[in-house]
Amino acid sequence: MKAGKLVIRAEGIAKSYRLGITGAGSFKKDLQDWWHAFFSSGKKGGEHQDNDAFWALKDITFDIREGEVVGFIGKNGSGKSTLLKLISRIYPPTEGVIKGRGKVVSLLEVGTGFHEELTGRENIYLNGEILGMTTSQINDCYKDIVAFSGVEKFIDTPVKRYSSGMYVRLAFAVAAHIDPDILIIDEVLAVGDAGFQEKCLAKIQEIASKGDKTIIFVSHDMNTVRRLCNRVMYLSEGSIIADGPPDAVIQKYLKKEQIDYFLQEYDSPEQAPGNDRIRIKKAQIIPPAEPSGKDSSFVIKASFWLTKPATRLSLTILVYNFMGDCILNLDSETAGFDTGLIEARSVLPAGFLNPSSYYVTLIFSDGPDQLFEFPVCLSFDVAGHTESFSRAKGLVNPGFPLLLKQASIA
Amino acid sequence: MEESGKWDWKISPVQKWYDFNWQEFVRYRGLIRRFVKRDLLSNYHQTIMGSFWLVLQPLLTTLVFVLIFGNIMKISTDGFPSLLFYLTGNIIWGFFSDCFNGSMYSFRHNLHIFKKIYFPRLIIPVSVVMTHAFRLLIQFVLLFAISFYYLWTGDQVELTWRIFLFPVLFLLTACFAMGLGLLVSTFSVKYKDLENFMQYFLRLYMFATPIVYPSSIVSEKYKVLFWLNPLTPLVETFKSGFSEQTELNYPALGIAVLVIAVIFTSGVVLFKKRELKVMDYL
Repeated sequence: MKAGKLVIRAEGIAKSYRLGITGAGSFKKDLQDWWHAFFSSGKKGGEHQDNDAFWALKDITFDIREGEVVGFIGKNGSGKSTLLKLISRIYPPTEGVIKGRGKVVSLLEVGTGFHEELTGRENIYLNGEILGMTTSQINDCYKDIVAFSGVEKFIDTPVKRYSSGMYVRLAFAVAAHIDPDILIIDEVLAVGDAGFQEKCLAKIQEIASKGDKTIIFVSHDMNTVRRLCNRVMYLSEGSIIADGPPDAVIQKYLKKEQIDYFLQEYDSPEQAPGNDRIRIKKAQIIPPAEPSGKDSSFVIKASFWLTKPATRLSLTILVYNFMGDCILNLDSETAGFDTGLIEARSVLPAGFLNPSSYYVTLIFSDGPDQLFEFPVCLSFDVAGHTESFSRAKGLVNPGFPLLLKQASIA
Repeated sequence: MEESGKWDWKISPVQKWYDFNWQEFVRYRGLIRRFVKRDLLSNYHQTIMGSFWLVLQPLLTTLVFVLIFGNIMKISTDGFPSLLFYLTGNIIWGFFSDCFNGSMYSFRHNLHIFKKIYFPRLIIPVSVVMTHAFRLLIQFVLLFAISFYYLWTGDQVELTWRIFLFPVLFLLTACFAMGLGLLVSTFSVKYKDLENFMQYFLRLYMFATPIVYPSSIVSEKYKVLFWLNPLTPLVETFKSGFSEQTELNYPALGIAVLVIAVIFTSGVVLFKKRELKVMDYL
């Protein structure tokens, strides 16, 4: 790929947050800092702060060139959202400098500044100008925005009467028509129904394909990242661990982070998550040995200590995708159990889940009473064919037989 | 080669006070108009009387003042018809306190937007002041209607050349309120104490300003201090627009202009310097 001109340069940026409560205590520290700043020049006050500061980002340096579509990946709390907010000028960095060229628009949320009482039309203009468009620019693409949103009939109705779907579509329609040099997107795709998400992705792809725009993108969904980005940076604990072509970096990420999430095991009930009824011994997902091979079934295993007998014990396995939709609800049979160790096992057959990222929540119940919920205890990725750009429609692919036959010959 | 080229923008830990990006502010001027429109429209949606409230609000407050301070407590109005006296006071005080409150809460009330998108934060207080300036304009129609009524009935009201000072007076009031509000806002985001304290200050301040009483009843002892309040000469000059008899206090006006210039400049500069930094505390 031909290297475009440099559009963003981050030099050693770091961000720290002060921990603890703002009140009389922090006021005393502020006064001390001011005192230091005014009367002991040279020596910087605030060194004592280091103990109660949390560093969300540490010494981040990178260059981004024109035309690059850069994905930031990492676990929750890895600092990727903070980084996005620094580039978007929401928070100042604690150290370092970010320099750039061209107009930046960030979509950390769709519909920022929408006002409930105003009509769809008024909100298009309000939101558009907040996003940095001028009135004449909005006039030029007003028709397209309305057409894209599909809410023509309600355009003169206050948006508080909109359904949440209409609201999101209108908001995204405005966002889709801004024309920045650098576009920053934070998982705004995780809204709306699947069909609308597809439309949004296509729009981003269209912007990216022009080649003169730069896109910075954060997502949990590895398949989307793979599909959209031509460069990926992987953050962990506030540092960039890997930076390079999507496939290599994503693989590294999955290897490093997800393994912890394939297995959670506790040796003794005392340290294990749970309560006075149940303690978790093990939650495990066994991925297929060959991700895209024929037999790519996933095995989910769980074992737990029951500390009081239960007469109608049951286990529910919930599988969510990273948009937060519950894809599956597997219920075990209900039965009486004595105290002691209990094991559970289930199999998700090959090809049943479409390629994406998923996580698992376990819920233990005794009759109608919920004993314990073990949320987001496992997560896994279903690999897809990276060459094919079209995603399988639908959330699951149960593979029910569908027959075609020639009824007659013309 | 392009590595060393010129950058369009730069984000660093500390914003310098002289990095005031005027071009950027001007580019976003359309947004000020949108915010003003939003605030005006949304305020009177789902009310029966709609924009008539703009006129009704100061009128109702004025009637309460006329009743309590004029008829019950019988405070002198220096020969003014009491309705006109309290209305002038109310209009200028309402404008001041609305602009001050709006500027002071710039960060806290717009946090949901500030956490998601950047635009020059100064847009918010400026559009708040513009919104109130628009309201002021409508209230002026009411004020002149009432003063014409008194002129017609031959009461002790006259229109003097000083009514041409009104735009300047309100510009000064706006700058004073906004400057003060911005100064407070940059500190109060971290320590809310200041906001609570300011509400009491505002109530007290109204009584330190000749809104419900004429300046003539202030005793000699406090005269100097009284006239040092920048709002005092503004209010008095405003009232003198309707009466030839009152003299303008030029020294007090001069001091007020100076104080307001200092407060406004420091408010804007400090606000601009801290506009991103304060987000860490919210």
